[in-house]
Amino acid sequence: MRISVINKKGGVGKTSLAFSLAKDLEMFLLSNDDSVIEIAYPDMAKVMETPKLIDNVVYDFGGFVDGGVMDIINKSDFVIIPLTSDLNSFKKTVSLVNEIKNKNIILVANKAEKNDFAEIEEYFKTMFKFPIFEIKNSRIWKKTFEEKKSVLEIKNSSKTNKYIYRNSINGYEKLLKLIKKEK
Amino acid sequence: MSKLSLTDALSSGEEVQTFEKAEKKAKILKKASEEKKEIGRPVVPEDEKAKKRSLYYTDKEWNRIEKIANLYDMKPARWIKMIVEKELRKESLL
Repeated sequence: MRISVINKKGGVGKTSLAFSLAKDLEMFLLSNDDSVIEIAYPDMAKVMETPKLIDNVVYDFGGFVDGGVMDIINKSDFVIIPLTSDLNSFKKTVSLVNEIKNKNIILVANKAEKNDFAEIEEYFKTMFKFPIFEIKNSRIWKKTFEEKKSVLEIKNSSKTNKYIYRNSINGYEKLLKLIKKEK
Repeated sequence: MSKLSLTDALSSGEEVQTFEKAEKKAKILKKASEEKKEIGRPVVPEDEKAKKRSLYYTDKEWNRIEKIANLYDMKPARWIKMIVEKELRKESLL
């Protein structure tokens, strides 16, 4: 299985999401964007200017989308596009969706607060029929790289964490369930 | 955990066509098609070209034309055509 996590817009939480997915699905993680993934996920993650097409991998693609990246995206089982609720993010998401031939797209309303998910759903449901998942804004996402753990691993690491984060990653867990079903 | 190591997976992984590679390939194809075009045209020997040229231009004039055309990254004939067209337009003859 191949999963591509992509958005040309920065700061939408691509790397944290790709890292958690790779860990929870026991998959490799490849990125074309400089980040700490190699330290956080040793022997399983690599930053490469031109990632290779391999199996059992989550790709974290940031910024410029060249021909090679598009090739991998089109050969992925899922294309996950995290986005935040702002017009710039909406615009870049629409242009990206139109560029991608692969239509196994999942939109993720990431770092969502209050009405963000409703706004994103309202905006995109008229244009596309892709599933949209809500991932609420939570401190747990910031902890992933510090603790070198996925959000699920952090949540399940203690009874206290299970209680604190009981509602924080519901959307992520639903997304994970959907992917596992296809795996 | 995957049985295959990341190093093994990468060594057997398929290389994707990068933007840079695609651009390089396009350049090669363009050059090849241009060469093909050149081959398709009748080849006029250089001395014949020079003979024909001497009917209209002295060597000094031609060297100057070549120098200016090079500055604009054009072939001399194209540059001459452009100047002639410009003059004709000025005289409302084109």
